[in-house]
Amino acid sequence: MTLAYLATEYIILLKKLLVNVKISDEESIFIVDLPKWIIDVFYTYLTSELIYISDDYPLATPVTTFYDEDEESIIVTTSIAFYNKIKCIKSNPNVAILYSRSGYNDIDDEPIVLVQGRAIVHDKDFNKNRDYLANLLPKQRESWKKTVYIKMARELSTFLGRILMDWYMIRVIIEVKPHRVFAWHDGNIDKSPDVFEVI
Amino acid sequence: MNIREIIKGFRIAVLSIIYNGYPLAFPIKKFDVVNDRIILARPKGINVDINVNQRACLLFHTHDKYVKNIRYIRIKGLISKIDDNTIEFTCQNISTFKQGGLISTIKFILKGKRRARETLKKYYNVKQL
Repeated sequence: MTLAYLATEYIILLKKLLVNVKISDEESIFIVDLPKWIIDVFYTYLTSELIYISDDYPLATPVTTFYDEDEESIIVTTSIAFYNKIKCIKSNPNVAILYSRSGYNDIDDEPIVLVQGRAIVHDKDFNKNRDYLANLLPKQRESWKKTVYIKMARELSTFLGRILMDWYMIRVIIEVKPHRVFAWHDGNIDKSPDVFEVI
Repeated sequence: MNIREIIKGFRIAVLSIIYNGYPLAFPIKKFDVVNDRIILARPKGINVDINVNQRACLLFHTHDKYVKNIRYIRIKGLISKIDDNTIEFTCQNISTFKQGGLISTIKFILKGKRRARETLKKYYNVKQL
């Protein structure tokens, strides 16, 4: 019995234990174990709202997110020109992302998902960020969202796009590690949500 | 400042508050304006304490299926009254963005270039784009 085998068994056991631990009606689970319909929301909702904290005010801004399955992270990206948002998140990394707009996707229901998490700002190497995003987009599930953003990336990479929008393409990556997920499968926020503690 | 005119045409208001150190946000479809205060239907699904004078934010936004023609209104403010069914929001500061039109597009690009240059110089010690 190899060490790798034992380590794998230990992780599986740990996962099983954690899935079964209830913390005041909330389950602790790995993000990959969230219900499929929640992961579908991460992949397909065209826009969502990022909420960060500035001077003890919550500030919401419309964003598009991408899902990084390998890192189990939700990725938001912003131009360096919008530095105030970056500064606030660096100062207080507790953020939330609300997925409440079900239009333009293939999901039949209209789920609403609120993710609370800790944000990590990646702004040390803008070339690395560009390459990361270029690799992340093709990895997204096939959806209208993916079609739109591939089209947008092509527009920005034309000669005119590069001249006019060079500043827009200097991207900071905000990686959100989910901590708690509130989810309403039928989109009715007057009902109690399913709540998942994510580790 | 006519709040009713400013938010006219938006179908959803996203209300954000801070609870236990994290932002908490809900989409609210039923809202109205009374005396320049926004009255929102209180979501019943999450049982959290919302208090008078609590800092809050309302966001209204739309776009088309290509994520163009973006329009948004963000209002910072306070929860000024609350009961079992409604939340009253008092506006303090409003910021708006509307995409589209030649003049606005040129302004957006020029402002973006200037701000990017300033940020790179100030925070990243980079002198040019």
